[in-house]
Amino acid sequence: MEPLAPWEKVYIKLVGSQTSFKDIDPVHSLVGCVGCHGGTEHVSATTTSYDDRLIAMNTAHGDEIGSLTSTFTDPSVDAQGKCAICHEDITNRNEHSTHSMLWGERYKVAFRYNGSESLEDCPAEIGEAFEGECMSCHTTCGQCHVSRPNSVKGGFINKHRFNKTPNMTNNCLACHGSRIGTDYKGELEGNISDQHYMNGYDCLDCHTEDLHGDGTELDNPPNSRYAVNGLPTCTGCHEDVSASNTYHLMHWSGSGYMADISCFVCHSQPYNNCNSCHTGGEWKGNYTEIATDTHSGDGDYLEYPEFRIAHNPAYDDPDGNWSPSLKLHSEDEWILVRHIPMVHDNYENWDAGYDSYDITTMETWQYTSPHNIRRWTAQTDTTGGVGCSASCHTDSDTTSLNLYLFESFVDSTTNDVDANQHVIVDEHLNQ
Amino acid sequence: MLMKNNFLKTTAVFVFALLLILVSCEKIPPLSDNLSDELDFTCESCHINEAVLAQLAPDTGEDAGGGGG
Repeated sequence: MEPLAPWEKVYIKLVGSQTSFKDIDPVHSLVGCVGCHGGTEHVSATTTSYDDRLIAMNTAHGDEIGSLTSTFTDPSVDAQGKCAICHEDITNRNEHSTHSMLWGERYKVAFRYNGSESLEDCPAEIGEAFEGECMSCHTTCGQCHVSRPNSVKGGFINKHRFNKTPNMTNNCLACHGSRIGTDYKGELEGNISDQHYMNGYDCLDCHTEDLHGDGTELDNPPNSRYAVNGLPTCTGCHEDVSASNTYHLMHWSGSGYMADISCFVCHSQPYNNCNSCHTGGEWKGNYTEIATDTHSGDGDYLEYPEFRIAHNPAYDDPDGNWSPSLKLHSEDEWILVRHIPMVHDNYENWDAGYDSYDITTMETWQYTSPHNIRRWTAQTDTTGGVGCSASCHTDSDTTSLNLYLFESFVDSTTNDVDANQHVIVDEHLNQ
Repeated sequence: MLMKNNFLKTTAVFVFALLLILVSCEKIPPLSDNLSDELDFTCESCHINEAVLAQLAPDTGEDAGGGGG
């Protein structure tokens, strides 16, 4: 994302006949700058010199200027004290939404430590490390409705106007960029953009679930991003195509005719995967992302395109001890998986008794829903009259082997076979 | 007659679109190239002034960073 100059981040640009912020946002201007930000509204410089004006500016700002997480810069850090005065219901719900609590990540960090479902069952140091580092990525009201999020160092999106609808590029993809954004816009070499993107669909055109939460999360935490109530489904729009062609008839999940296949298996392109991310210790302040060409689970951080079909063990055993994202898709026998950046020493820098967690507690090739959907993909290509089964059926063409999560592939690339035995396909394919 | 009606409709739409674009265009207000002689300031008197911000913002510390993501 193109960075903003420091002054641009706080510039309220007036256009046309506008004379002040009240012409940009007449409702929120009633609160006044200091009503939200604090500081001093009126200050005087002793002379017109630069130094004296700088002193006046610092007087107006107090000591808090500069920190993106201060209530001076982002008053919505204290949403209950500021936003809730007018927006009580939505603020209360948002306090425990997935965006605020990172429920899925919270569950995984606890589960990886001792198989628990809650950080409260882990040593206090783990909870503190999670709050200090992982939670630095959670968002505030202002980071969606006023400014770019902290992950890209802030900056007004629309002259400090409070935007009811967040901007896809400046808000959503500023955080969800490296995988969803890259996939959706077709930025991987050889890919083309998602058909929905090509048709002009914004994130919120499909994601109509309430991103502020529905008020049930605290009592019933969604332990996976796929457990959030109201998530979009393919059939929400494409409900009438289950019998639209032979392939749908034979593979539509729930048809009971033959293998039930997730829509993504046929209609996705290769997607971004990642290896070897590490916590930074000291709450991420010293985290440095290093990209190398090492295609290894033990190397430095790496992002790379890949496409792998896995077998969902929850299809045969819906009540088994599988991760939530697998169980939530138990109607699909064949799913796509994406490598997540877990290695045995991910949490080493937390220095919280978590130096070498048991990587086998949860698969590292995890269920995924790539946002690079096309009707015609390498899997569905029937150019020249070839049936699309030729792309996937392993008895028809050996090139299809490159699509599956075989043990040999995992062993030679991410080197974490033990963690992924239950999603590896070897025992489930008729070769 | 039909052609004439179509021509008039097309012209009307074109003129309307042109007016819409002209009205929507940002009219950039004149920008002072330096601070005025004013000694009293409010939040807005600086934050709507590009020249003032460009002069003062580099000194604001952490927030001077660029974007990534």
